[in-house]
Amino acid sequence: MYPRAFRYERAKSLDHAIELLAKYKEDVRPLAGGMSLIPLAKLRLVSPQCIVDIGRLEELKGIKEQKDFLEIGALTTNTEILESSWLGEKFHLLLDTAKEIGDVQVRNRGTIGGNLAQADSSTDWPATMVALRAKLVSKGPRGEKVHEIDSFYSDQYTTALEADELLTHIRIPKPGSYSAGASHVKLERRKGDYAIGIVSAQLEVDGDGKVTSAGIGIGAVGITAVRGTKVEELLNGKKVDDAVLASVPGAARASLEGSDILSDIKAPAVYRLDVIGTLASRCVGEAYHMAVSRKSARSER
Amino acid sequence: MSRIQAIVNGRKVEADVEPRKLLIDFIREDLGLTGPHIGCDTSNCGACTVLYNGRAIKSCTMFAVQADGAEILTIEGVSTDGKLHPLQQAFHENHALQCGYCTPGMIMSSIDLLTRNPNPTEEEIRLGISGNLCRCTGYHNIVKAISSVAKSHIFVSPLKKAKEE
Repeated sequence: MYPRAFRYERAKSLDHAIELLAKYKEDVRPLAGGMSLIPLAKLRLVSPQCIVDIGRLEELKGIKEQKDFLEIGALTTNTEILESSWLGEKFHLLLDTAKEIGDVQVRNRGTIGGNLAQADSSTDWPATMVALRAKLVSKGPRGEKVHEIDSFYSDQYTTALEADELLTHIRIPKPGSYSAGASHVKLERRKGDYAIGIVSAQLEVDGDGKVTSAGIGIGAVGITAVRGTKVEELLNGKKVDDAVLASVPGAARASLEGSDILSDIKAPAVYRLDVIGTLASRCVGEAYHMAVSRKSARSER
Repeated sequence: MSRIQAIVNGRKVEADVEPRKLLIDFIREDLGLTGPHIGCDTSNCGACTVLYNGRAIKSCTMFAVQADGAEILTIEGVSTDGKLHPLQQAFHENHALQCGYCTPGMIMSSIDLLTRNPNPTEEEIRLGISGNLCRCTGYHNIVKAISSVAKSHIFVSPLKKAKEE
């Protein structure tokens, strides 16, 4: 089905995009890869008066390693991330996540910034950004802002961005060591379906195999991505053995206390809460295994 | 109306389109290229897959205005001098289609896959076409067809061909 008629504006620069967004502020949506906006517009769930196409803003594309962080342009596609194999050494979780997204056609068009700004907690990037403690940079008529991922989302489809602000870059702190282990685990009915549960983990370990830093993001259960605070507390300073892994499901569920839980025909809340424990334990186990084997591979060299 | 131009199957085209016109409708209705199909019209089934600047995309989930200045390849542009592309030939030989509705999309996704990964494993092939639904074959012979092209090293990317012309 066709979307309702809209005015199409193509942004020539970031500043031009912000100008256009401010001009049509009452009823405007930016268009990046279109993987969320176009299906929603076709269903007429979203019918903006004006669509600002930001898809050609080269200044928002690409991945750069800065001194203290990795900077990803908001318009970098999932395929571009997946094909940046050099990320594997320090930012393996980005590759693990990009690989899991949709299908090749969706990865080719879909952008990381578009996904994060859409704020659908059932998708992959929000949970991963929580695990990585990312900072999200936005720009609007009032200048640049840096948002902590933990305060970026307030509800499904709701972020700290105003209608005339654009997410421009994602900053990911560099892990303290090269031995970060990562894993991104999700449950979906079929490849490409909306997830029923997502857990994303990045773990760093010391020479004794004790966890020195843990980042856990939980998606597709709460109405926003949620930090696995209790799992992080459980893991910090410990070697992850079977006994610790057995406590992970409870800690994951405890982290979700106080959050509104998604519930729909695919998976009622009680099922999501049940399954997330298993996913968390599997995800932590994989990330820890990778962290330890990378650590020992490095010390042998 | 917005004026757009694009290179479609090596041919320059120009047209006025309403901004909400979807790329698939531009290709089928304005250009008369009915190879790419409309299956689900909800970005699930992949029947509308075309190559956009060399990468597989679902043309039901893109506005024609976004494709202004792009190079687009549809199933009509993959054969050479009346000879089927090796992937088309392999689909024929391996009985990789029954009703044929998904085939143009399947082949475009396979081109994206084999261009980037000339020697895919079976799992990589299955993941590579996970954005394309087939309700007849059960996928087995489609995987076999793609795999036979990879194994016999007869894949030629139609993308390179379009660029050289």
